[in-house]
Amino acid sequence: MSCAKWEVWIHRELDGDLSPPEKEVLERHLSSCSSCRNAAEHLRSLSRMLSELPRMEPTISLTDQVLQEIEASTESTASSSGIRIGWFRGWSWTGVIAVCLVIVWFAVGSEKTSNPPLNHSAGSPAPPSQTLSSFQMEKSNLPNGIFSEKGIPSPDGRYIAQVRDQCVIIRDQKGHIQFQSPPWETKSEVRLHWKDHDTLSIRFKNTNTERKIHIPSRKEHKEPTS
Amino acid sequence: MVQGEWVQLAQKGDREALVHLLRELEGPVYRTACYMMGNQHDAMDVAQEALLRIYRNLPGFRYEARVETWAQRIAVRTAIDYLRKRKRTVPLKEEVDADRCRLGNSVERTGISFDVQEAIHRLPEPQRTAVILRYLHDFTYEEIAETMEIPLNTVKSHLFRARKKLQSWLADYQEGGVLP
Repeated sequence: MSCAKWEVWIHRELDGDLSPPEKEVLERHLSSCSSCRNAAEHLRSLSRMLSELPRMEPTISLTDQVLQEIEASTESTASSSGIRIGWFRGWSWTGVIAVCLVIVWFAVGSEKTSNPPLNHSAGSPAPPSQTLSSFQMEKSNLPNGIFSEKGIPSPDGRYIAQVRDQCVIIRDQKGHIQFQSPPWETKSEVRLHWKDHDTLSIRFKNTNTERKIHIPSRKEHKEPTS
Repeated sequence: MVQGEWVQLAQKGDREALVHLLRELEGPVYRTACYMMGNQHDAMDVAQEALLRIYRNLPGFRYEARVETWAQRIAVRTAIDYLRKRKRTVPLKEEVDADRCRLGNSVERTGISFDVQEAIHRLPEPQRTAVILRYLHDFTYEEIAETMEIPLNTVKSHLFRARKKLQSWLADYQEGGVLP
């Protein structure tokens, strides 16, 4: 093998591409060829230098910057479709400080039963006879898909309504849960839509009904959809 | 949890997973940007744009490549886009001046490291990329090939040629006894 070919082996050795037997063969050649030994020493020296280059880290969090940019672009997209997600800003800056205002439609149920705090209120119509195992959000209205499944923000960004574990959850800007419904049992397609700053509409496709949840009063109305 | 699981969760809309993933990737992405661009100012812009692209492309990530190589591919492409754009828009003299605004702090900007960084920046794009992936990320030939989407032999060729060039440019250090 010519010295030019041995040089290729030297390069491969630097990159850990030689098998142990190949390494032995190379070392034997280097011990007997001063020209290749010299070349190997220089290349190894260079390789060491490259391995010791500083591995810089950003001086500020690029992730935070990127999240802000995502939020900004999401907001501008959302505002054109009537949705704002100002909650995201607070969320990203403060992390998760959860507070909760769970609202809505099951408040009373929780009083009658030992269910979690968010059952139907006494005067409100009964929930659909079927319970739901999943909700489908209005993804088409949501910008930047990856966050769309996280929930739908209220128009002023104060609340975010989302579905998790077959429940509807409403959080405030800091991520605190304000309301969590008991889990639904039967599958139905559900669409969430904010009617105004503090009224959430939930449409159940299988029963063709709509629930409106007024957050400040914690009242819920049920009516057939058109 | 391995990175792939974070990706899966992030793809499903888990914001915490997305933030975790971006934080894991920002260092390596920034490092590539630094050595591709040759100065920290551009590197910040490039790394930020690359992370945005990673976020935007996340739903389409299908695990054909490893997360690290996929992210590095985006970082390299973003840097190349910036370099080409800069070539079109920045007069030559300013471009050279900008390049002299080296990487790192005052310590990093002195001595051997500074000259090696200068030399790396002089390499043609593909060779520079191969060197960065090999020495700043410890990628194997296979991982470099996956990142650059080129055959394995081409990776070797880029690395061998790059080392030969660097060796001749940095000969003073090697022959003058500067190196240990």
